[in-house]
Amino acid sequence: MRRLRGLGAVLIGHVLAAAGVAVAVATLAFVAVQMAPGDVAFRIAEARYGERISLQTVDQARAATGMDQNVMVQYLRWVESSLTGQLGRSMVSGRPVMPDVWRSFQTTSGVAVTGVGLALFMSLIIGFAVGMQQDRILDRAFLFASAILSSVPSFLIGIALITLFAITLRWLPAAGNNRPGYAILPSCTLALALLPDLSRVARNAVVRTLQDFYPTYGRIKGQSWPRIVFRHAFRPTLVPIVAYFGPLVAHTIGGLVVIDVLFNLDGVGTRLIDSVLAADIPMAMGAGLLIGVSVVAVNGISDIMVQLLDPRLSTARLWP
Amino acid sequence: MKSLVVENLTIATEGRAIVDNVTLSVSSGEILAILGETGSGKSLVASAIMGLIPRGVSVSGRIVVNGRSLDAADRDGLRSLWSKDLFLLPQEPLNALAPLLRADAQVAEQIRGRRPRAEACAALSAMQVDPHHHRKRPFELSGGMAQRVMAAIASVTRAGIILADEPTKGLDVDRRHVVAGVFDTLRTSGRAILLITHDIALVRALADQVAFLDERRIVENGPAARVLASPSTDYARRYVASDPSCWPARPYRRSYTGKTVEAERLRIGIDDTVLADELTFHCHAGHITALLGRSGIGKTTLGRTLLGLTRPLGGTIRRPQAEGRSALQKLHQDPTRVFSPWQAVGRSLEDMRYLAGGEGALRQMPALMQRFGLRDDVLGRRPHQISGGEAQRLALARILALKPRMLIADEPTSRLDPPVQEQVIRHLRAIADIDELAVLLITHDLDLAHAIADRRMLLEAQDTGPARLRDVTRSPQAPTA
Amino acid sequence: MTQPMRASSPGRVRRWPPGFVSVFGFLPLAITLLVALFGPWLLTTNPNRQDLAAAYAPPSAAYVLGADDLGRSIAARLVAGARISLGIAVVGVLASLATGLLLGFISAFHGGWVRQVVMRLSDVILACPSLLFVILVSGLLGGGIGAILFGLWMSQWPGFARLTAAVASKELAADHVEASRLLGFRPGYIFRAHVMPAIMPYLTSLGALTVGANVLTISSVGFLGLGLRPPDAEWGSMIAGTMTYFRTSPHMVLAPAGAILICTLSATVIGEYYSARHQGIEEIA
Repeated sequence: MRRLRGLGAVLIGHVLAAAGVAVAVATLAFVAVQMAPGDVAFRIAEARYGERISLQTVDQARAATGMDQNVMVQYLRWVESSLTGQLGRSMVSGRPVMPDVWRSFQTTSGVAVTGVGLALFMSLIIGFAVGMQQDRILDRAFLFASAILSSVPSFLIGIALITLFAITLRWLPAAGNNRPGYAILPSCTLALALLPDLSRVARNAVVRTLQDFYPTYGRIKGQSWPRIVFRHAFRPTLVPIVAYFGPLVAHTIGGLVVIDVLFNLDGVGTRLIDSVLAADIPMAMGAGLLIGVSVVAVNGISDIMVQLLDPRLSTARLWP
Repeated sequence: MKSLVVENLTIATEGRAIVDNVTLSVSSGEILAILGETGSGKSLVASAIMGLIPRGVSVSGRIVVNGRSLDAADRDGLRSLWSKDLFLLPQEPLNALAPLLRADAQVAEQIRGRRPRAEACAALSAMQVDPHHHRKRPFELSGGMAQRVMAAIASVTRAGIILADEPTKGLDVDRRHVVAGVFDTLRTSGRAILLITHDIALVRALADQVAFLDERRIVENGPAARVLASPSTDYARRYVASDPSCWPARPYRRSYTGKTVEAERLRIGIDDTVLADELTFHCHAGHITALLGRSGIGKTTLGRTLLGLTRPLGGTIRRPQAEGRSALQKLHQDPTRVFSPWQAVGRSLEDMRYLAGGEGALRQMPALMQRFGLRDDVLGRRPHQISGGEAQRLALARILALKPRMLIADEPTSRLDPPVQEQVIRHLRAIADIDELAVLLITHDLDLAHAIADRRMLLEAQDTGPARLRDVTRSPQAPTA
Repeated sequence: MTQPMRASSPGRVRRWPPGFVSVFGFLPLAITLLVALFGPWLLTTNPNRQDLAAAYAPPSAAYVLGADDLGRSIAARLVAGARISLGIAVVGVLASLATGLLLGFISAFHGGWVRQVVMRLSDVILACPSLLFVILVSGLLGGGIGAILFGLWMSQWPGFARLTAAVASKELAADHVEASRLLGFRPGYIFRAHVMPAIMPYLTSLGALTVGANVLTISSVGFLGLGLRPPDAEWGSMIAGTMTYFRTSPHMVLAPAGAILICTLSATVIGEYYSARHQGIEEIA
């Protein structure tokens, strides 16, 4: 019962955090608008009416977006639109923001889920295989290899994969998200970019568990090694790995932005960069909102899973 | 027939013996206690029997387990006896239990019967673990309860020989009876028990045989009744005499000295939780006042409140005035932790020159170090490189150099070996008698309080509401802590 | 001696052979830093001079690392780019470290709402990748070195603040600090003698690891074309500009890639070395 209440509190905390993200995105965008050079209403009108722009249409756009009212009212409107997800139309294309962003989000999440899943699967295997051999040859080789791989920027991994599989072997498409199999290379790039840190976390979790006294003591009690690993030590070992999901999602987003551009995918990353460069504020807000909410969602899932795995830990996070 | 015999066990690293030619034996239904100070090598004896000495450390001698004779260096042979003949009860049971498994499951997985769960519950109940604790996980159990679960696990294995390494370490002194009860039950079930400890009270309560280990070798052994009553070697005599229960009780005298600290209707607690209320007392210069009470009742918080480290929740404290620093000083439980761990202790002492009146204090230090029997070579070492006794005496010297009016000593000897404890306690008495400081001694140990304190106060829980203070100086009946 | 039962856990074994950290950690990073500082004065060729006759030239005596698609000397561009790629990375870490140390120590010392505000703010910022910050700030401020630096600083001080607060509050609650306070030592002394020595190894480790991460972030920003205005050299943008020729003239990609790899790897080796000497950052922060 107490545990359920604890989980409820976590859930409420994360819903609040999601709302906080919406407010933060609105604030950032609002500051950007206030700081942006030139008259934003003019640019909105330009986007909407194209050549037929006049002082009249500019005023119309100004009134439509509420920019003729005082700053506080404007700000509250921004926050409201951000909280309800009604962001209006793109300043560049003039089309509603949300459907476009949502389509990009689907492309991105496909790549992200495949890539992260792949990395997680490999990391668990590598982490357990290597962590059990702490400071032996295999472990040192792994540590060195992972240090090298983590020093390679993700776009180089992508370039290497494209050169090998798309250009030389011609097995897979190099760019775009229209042809079948387009997600394979981006997902693999993401997985390889995440692998060094994630497998290191898994390895350290295993090492950390084995440093505790109870696995050794399990042997003294006469228990078999597989039983100790899977029945006594498995759940405690998963905890730091699940708790790492927070930093993991941050790494993933960083990687995805680069991967979107490299593979010319119509993903959230491309949307974000294009809209920031073009000062397309509603579109940037839409992309920012989706990214922020997914970060909060993953953190929430990770918190709840950690608590289910190990009831010793309350809402305290293991990772910053 | 003896269940366990150790013959001529020698453990050496880099050509230097750390356990030298130890021979001992235990029969079933018998407890042999090995007593010794930190660093005497007593824990290594248990490690050697279990085959846990790391490779690279040379081990020689023979270990006979239930008639089967093994070379002490045969680690694999010894390990193959784990849980069949040999069982180890570890120092801190909470670290040894699987962290996320319920108590009954941990016992049940040792049982190969038809109804392991029911047998596990029976074993737990036999160790006086109440049924509502059976389904708890280790982190929901207290230290004493975890000790009982551990013993239940030992009781369901076939192992006839149980080794216990410092079973009271990390437990409050008032939990000692739990440990004693547990071992008594195991002994009654016909097991041979090797008890390794520095805790002479536990040995008095339990042991059939006693062996004293000093400087790597056994200096005296024999039946507990004889060895504890009339030890024949110097070391054993000193060790037995260092137990406060052997000291004469301090007679009651009226006090004529001035009051150093006065508290009136003091209410203490942490944040908004009230721990104790209506505390009215005073401490006289030159007196040792013992503050007794079970753990968690608020003794340390009372000390911190007097020191000004925790804000009182109500009432008044009158303290002596002092310039630049508190006239009240504290002696900590773990003396090796009161000096900055990043520099040599000598450096920490020299840093006193940054204090108001620090130069004068520094000039006092050589005389004080001599008084407490400290040599200059400790000054070059880091805090973790000096022994607990040296650290506690050095801390005392540093405090005295600054001429405080009162000393609050929070369990100052509970981490020290008995002979060292006695030494520090004698110094405390001298500080009260010669330097005329008021001393508040926070302790669990009733015998110690009776032996050296002029006043005894008991902080005791009430049926409802926060704890209250009671003066028990003249209670003829020893209050149960 | 207190826990001989733990004989099977091997303690901290030295992970790398002796000299490894110097050769693979400090030496390459120090050389690159010197190049970043003094390189521009040592250059004999202008990194932006185009010599179309030499375009795509493989490494030779005239062009040590070859020339790019516009015939510019890759070696000269690498040297010029070190300022941005490594220079900003290091300056960004120093700025974040100073900010984080200050805010972290204040929140540990003060506690209460100050700590809450700093820590919650850190939580939010740390949930976003620093690349995103740099992109957003570049978008807002219109790019340039200042924008990159500001974005890195904004996204990274919370990591240092959290670490400092965690270590400092642990130390401030320790017996040795309590004893020193009672003896009358001032907060300045306590900070210097009790808290700083505890924080330093952690900060060194996190600082080195962050330098490595920054080199990657800056090169990603350059790769995305957000960092600087052409023709200024930056390692990531050098790769972006030449990646299409990877199969035919691999040296144009491999040279800047190697520079990024060496910097990041040496910073990582240094960071790992310091974190292996204490408990490991992950258990504290």
